[in-house]
Amino acid sequence: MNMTIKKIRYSWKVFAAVFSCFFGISLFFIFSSVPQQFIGNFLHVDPSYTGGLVCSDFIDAIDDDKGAGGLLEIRYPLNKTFEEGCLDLVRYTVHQPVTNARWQQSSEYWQLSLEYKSGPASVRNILIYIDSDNIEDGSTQPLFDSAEKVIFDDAHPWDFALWICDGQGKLYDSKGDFICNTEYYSLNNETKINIRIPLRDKKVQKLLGSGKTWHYVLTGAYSQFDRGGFMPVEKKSAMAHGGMKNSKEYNALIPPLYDIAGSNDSLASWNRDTFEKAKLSPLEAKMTAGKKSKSEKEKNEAFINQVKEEYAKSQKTSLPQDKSTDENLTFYKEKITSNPEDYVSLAYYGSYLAVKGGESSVMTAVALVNESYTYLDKAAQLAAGKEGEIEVLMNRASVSASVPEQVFGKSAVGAEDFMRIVSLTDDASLKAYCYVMAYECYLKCGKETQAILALQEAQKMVQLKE
Amino acid sequence: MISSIILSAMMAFIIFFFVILMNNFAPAAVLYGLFLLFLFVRMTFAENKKSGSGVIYRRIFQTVFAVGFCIAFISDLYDERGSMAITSQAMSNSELPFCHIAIPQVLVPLLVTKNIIFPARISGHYASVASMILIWLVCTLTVGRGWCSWICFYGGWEEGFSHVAKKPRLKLLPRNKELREFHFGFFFFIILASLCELACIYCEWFCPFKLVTEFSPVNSIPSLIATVMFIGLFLGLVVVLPILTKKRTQCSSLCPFGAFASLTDRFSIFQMKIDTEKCSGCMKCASTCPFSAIDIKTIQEKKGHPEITCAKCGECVSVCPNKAISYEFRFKKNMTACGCGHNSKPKTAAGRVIQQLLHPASLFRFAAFSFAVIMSSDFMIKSLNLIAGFFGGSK
Repeated sequence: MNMTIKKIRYSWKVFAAVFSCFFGISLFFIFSSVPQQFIGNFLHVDPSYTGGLVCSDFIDAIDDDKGAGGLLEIRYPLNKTFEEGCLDLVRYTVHQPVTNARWQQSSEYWQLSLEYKSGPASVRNILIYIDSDNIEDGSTQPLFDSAEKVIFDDAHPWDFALWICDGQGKLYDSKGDFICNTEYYSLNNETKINIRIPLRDKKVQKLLGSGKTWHYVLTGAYSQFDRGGFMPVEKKSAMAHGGMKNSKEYNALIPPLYDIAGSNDSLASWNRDTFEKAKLSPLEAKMTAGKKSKSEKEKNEAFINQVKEEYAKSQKTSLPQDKSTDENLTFYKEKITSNPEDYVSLAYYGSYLAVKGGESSVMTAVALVNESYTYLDKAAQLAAGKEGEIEVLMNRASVSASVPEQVFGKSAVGAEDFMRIVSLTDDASLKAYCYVMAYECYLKCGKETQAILALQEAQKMVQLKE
Repeated sequence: MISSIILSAMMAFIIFFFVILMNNFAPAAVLYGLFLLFLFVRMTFAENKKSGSGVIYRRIFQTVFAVGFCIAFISDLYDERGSMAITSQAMSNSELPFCHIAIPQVLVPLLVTKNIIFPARISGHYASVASMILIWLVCTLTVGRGWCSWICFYGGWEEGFSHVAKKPRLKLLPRNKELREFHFGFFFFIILASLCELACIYCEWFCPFKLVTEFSPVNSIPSLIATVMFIGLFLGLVVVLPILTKKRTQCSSLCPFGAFASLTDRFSIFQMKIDTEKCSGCMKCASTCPFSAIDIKTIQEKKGHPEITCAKCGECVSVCPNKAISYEFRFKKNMTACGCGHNSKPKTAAGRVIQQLLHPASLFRFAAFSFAVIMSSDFMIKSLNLIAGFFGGSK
């Protein structure tokens, strides 16, 4: 009996060994993205390498790089270097100060991160004014006097000014004296800027003891010839300056700032009669990292599922579901053969190839999905700017969102396609669905900021629809 | 013969899927796939004829992979950063490639601080932390320290240099035990130092392979000292000493991953066995072992297996005149097919084929080569394309 049990155990062990050697290793590599993502949720790089724990994260409205927006609108200079969205601040992150950092330029530093809708970074002139709760005095006047044309909240006079332009950052105190240069990193195609303020100076070291800080984040157009580096705003845009959307609204008190963190409405709070400049309010940032709430994550998941269900219902009511995948493939193949330029049929054919791949073995799936993209990419190329483009892009985007990122790496393409559909359609529920799918695609390819913005836009669409 | 054909067919399937199909039948992929298949077929048939005669193909693969990896990796660095130097940008954005040698250095701090003390991507990249840790886990359970002798893209340099000379000029056999003691002592020093500093000390100061991958720019006295150290260690332990001793000196004396893999090898399915009844004590295995895993005492005291640092390379199998050394399952103990303690040969041809297929040596070689195929495919195809582009462009 003992011997039989031993024999059975031994046989099972041999079977496990044989399976692992012949199949286990291959299967592991094929499906490695799943356990990788799972493990990735539990692993974190030491914060001293990544800039420190995040204390406060501010998402700024997208497409509000128009000065005071609805109240007064200013436009970019005509210089082609100013790409759309290059001055549109979308995210501002305050990190916890880091001490005893290894392998970093400064072992003690404080990181601030800014993210913009697009690059380049060379056209931006950024000023961040910081008030700390444990430093007295401060100033309510800007660093460059008449350049920014703003003043600051009396309750929060700034103690430090961080001037970021021309690929470098400089720190000043409230008297306008230079303190030190900062580390400047431009990332993600110049859409993200990380600034690390070294905590060497005694004045700056006081930040280590502060519980809260207040930040005024101002973004203007950079000009090396103008005071403070701020390219002015005149009546009309030209190569060397910005201009008003409505030239009659021009006033010398209008700040040459395209975007500030928080609401832009305060940029229109100047008073011509009393010659009062626009008064800005700061963002309040804690200096200690807090735990992320699970309830927000659950809310987001519930919202995403709700949007997907509503979209799925609307699709079920409009599309027939009586044909099998092979029948559909045959049907669209005939259409493509008779008209090779029929981009809608090309897109559906590619789509159904991918569906067939999902129903097949792993090896066949890889071949079919690769083949499907030859049709989908061709369809997207032919459909550009024509009627039916939405349908074609929807097919490609849906396939990109469904295939494993680790194997095919198509999530970024999928996100772009969904965002393109958003720009082409007026249907609020379709927009909401596309934003939600773009959110998932952005998360898969590690673009967290774009993902958050897409989700916010989806929430706006749902509110609009309601 | 039939078992070799079956194994070759199965490996051909793996090579076709991972190398050729996943790269859309690119010419470089087809070429590399054929090369891999050639190596495996030759190795399998050679082993079928004479046990241990297939090791030359393992050496060829590992050396070629080391060179190809270096070309592809450096090209990636130039694409990403424009140089081999580690930039502050890459460091501050946690974009450094995470290599397997950093694994033992980050594990203990991970348990204490719950953070990875290395500025690398966590996931979504071939050189991410999650990816390398998973590969290490699967490798530990299957081939164990066989990673060092079959897969490691750094060890291939020493594998190549250790076979340049025909005879060793320096004999390390009498010092094997001291070498192992130094290896583990250094390993524990690295672990403790990494825990105290919360940084990977080996990567910062000692890793000789920075010379063929990436390194910190020389802009201070500490970085100058570190540069001199890693260049010296590469030239000494990776080039000169392997030529003089015909051993893998860096792998057996310095590499912390090697020491770590030796400790975790107990969880792998396979181990090497020395049949003490067949062993004549000629010591050829001890002289040949590149990892200093067989001492004079190992044979004299009839331990029945190599020391803890055995990397299952099979070199000892190839030189043993009495076929006393073989691969076996770690869980075998005294088990045999019928459980009666006697070896039983199958009576049918099919039974003999199955017995050969399920032989630990065949399974180990298949597992190790599968790992090697999958790990190497992207790098080697990229390096072949670069080489083709270089020669095509120069014409």
